[in-house]
Amino acid sequence: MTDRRRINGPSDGTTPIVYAGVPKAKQLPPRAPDALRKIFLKTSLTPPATGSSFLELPSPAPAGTPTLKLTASVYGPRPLPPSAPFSPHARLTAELKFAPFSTPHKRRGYVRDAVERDLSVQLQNALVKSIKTAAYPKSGIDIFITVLDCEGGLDGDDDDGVEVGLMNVLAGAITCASAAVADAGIECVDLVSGGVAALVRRAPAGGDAMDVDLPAPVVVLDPSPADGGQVVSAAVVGYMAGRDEVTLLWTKGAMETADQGGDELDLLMDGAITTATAVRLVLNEAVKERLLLGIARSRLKKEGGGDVLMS
Amino acid sequence: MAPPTSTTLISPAELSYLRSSLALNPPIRPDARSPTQFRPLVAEIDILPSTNGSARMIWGDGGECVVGVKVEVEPTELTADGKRKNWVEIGVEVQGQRDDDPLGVFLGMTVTESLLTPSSTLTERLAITSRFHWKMYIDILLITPPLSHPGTLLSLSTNLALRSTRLPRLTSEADEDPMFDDDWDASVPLYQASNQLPPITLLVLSVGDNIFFDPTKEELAVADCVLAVSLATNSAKDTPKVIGVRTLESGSGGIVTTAGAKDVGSGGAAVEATSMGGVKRTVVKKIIKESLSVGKEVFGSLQGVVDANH
Repeated sequence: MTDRRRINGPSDGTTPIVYAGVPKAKQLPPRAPDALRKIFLKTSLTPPATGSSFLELPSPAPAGTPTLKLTASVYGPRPLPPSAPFSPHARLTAELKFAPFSTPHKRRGYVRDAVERDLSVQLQNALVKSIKTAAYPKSGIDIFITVLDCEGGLDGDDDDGVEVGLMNVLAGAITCASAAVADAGIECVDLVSGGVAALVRRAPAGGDAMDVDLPAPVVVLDPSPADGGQVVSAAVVGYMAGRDEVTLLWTKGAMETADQGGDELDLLMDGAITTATAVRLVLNEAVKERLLLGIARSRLKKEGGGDVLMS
Repeated sequence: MAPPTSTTLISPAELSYLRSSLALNPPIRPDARSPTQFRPLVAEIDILPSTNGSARMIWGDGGECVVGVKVEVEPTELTADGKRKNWVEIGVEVQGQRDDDPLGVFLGMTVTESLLTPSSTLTERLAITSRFHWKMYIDILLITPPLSHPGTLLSLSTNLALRSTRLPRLTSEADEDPMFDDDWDASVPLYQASNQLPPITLLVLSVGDNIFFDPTKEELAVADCVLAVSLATNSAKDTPKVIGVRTLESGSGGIVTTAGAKDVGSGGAAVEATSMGGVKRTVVKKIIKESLSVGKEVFGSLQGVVDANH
């Protein structure tokens, strides 16, 4: 007779739980200053939207480290509400929102804050120049960007250097939104891609930072907030590679210009444009993939339709 | 941002005329200014007795901006990584516009970014002891809804207010709780004459090969590219450094284009060719280069305002 007032252990013993070992974090070799990260970009993933796209940067080791993930959806061109005043061109609005769970450490609120508004306006400025808005009178084109995950570096600047997190988000948003606009079939003069470059001062390996002279900053393309080093200044551009034109320039941090000894501003801007040109190749592939898929589908439909008629 | 295009009530033909006269060599501006000339303005400092520093500026077009700077002692709590966060709070109030209007957000972000750039040394100036610091509140009030973009007006007024800001003199020892001299005449200026000056932000636009400063609303509506260039310098005599560039909404994103082409024929076609799309990178570099020399002059004139008041 067992004691029913007690919770007894099982009569025959149990085996202790053994967890599979945590895979050891593989330390990736640091990226060269001019090496870019790979980008995953795919369009037409949000069925109800006219056009949509998804952008993701590869996750650095160890697995589970936050990386940049964005979705863009484009609605329109659709008629403006009857209350809106007449407008001879399409009205473009862009809204960028961080998901509440997107940032490391701190949760974000649902209500858009000043940072998100600011990025939205910059994104709108970068894209409006590429879209033939005059082709769509009395209509609105709405672009929504949701940041699902980001690498951090959003705290704002301080004495230690500027933060490149927001700049990466903006560059990714420009690329992603441009792919979504193309996916929606909206007339454009060119695709816009975003690129970031930064002047980074890295502490010399093994040396005591106090004794040695500070090393000269180097231009790093596509910098990540996780890379470390002191970011002296950074620039992001929106660039139309087909026309060799800049639609957006945003820089932070003090830069010397040519007559002050260095032409850091030129270096940064050219670096950011180099990044954007490389990103454009990914953008081209994503748009091409979608186009080929569309052609293949329409061909299939035609053949399939014939079959239906025959039966 | 949005206002220049959405509220400009001029016809496509007028826009085309304005654009082609600005693209001439030498260019002709509607108010006959030279490309680098600013509109006349009135500036005064130390106007609000209950603030640590204040300034007021009035432009010819009726835009008026009042800036007040107040400080209070706050115990220092460094963030986990030893950073000084939230030492400066900036509020921008534009009369007649909602708080969430993109214009106010843009102005606030521009001022914050240029003030807290890594080389600004502002937080070093605000540190009192290792445990206490001054928390600074900069409140910017645009009293009359300005007819042109208020970016330059706001940044120059903020610069003057910061230049006139004085902090009470510390009388206690370094590791004690801070005590201050209550004699206002003994207070120390936040920005010493020999030190780095607060930043300014200039609006610069390009039309064709020409570059214009202090643009009016109409000029903004026909621009190829509008940049807000933030500059900082150590003294009014040095050439300033670029500490930030932002792009503003410019032109009409295609409004002028087809309408202009239909109405005015070949002149409109020229508009169409340029107002769609971005600008070449050489144009951007030229804009920034020009703003350095103009910025130096502006710093000089601001120095004049400060000197005249002391």
